[in-house]
Amino acid sequence: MFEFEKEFHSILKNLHEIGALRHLILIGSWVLPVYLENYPISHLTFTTSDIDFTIIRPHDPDKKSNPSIHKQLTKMGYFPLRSPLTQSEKYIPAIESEKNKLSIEFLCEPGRIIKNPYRIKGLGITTTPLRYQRILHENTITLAYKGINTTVPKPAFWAAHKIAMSQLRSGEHAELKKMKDLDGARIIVNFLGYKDVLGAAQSYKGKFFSLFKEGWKIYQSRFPEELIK
Amino acid sequence: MSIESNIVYLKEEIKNHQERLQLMEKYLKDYPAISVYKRKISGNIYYYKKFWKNGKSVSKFLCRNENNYHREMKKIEAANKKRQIIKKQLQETKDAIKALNKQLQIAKKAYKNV
Repeated sequence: MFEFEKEFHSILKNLHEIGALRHLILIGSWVLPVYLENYPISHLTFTTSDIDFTIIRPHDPDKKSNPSIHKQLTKMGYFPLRSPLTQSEKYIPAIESEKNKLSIEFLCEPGRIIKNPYRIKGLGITTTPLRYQRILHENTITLAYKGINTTVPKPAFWAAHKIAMSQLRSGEHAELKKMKDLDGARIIVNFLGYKDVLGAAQSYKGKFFSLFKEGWKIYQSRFPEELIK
Repeated sequence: MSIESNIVYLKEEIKNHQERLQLMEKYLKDYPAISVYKRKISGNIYYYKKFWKNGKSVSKFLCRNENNYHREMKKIEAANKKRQIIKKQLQETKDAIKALNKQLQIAKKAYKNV
């Protein structure tokens, strides 16, 4: 992962400069370097070249104002690639770009208004609805990453969310992806202790907690010795 | 990180690289390299651009005025330069995919043996 860290920092810096970070919550595996700078979690080797941001209420009139994230990312050498099948969009390095390697995707919570990928005119981007984002939206914390204030989910909720979402993996290599999710969550479980993560998951009932329980069973069977400590 | 994570990471990386490779190939196909030549017809100079399309050499009228010629040449040179960068990137991406596939094979082997 650290080979991409300069690029990650540059993306955050550029989004911060135009004031776009106030709309964005960093999620996915790239929260780990942010946690690493603020908490004594174990060091990471690699994870993914996809940076995920989530946006609370993309249809909110507040988001209709500038800054244009699209313009800034285009200026930085990324361009939007739309999936013809799902209409979701992610920013990938422009083909002539020699230094960019990461891709950026924007997500949101589905709802009455947002059922399909939703275009936010002011920000110039399209967000893809994905279930249970609200767990992350409702439990955020602002942490500094190399001097840039970044909103991220609270670690316990991030780990609980990872464990629950691992159970929604489907398609090719779903099993491997599940294990990767649990691996990511493991860093936080080992740091906070499993009680905090369990507590975070328990504060949500219903389907989310059921998913978490299923994921937790697998987690327990995979890393039993670490939970005894 | 576990072998499983490594395999997922490598697969995602290969997928991303292949996506990029396709875009590059499409670009190179859609925007062929252009060369320019001039012809003197009835005492007048005409500029033409020449490129390959679907395996055929195509010539198209560019301009006849020298000022326009210089302006067009700047655009063509910039496009050809961009094409060169993309061509270089294409080879690098192909090499990266090859290396990632090799790593993936090793990781899969290790996963089977666990």
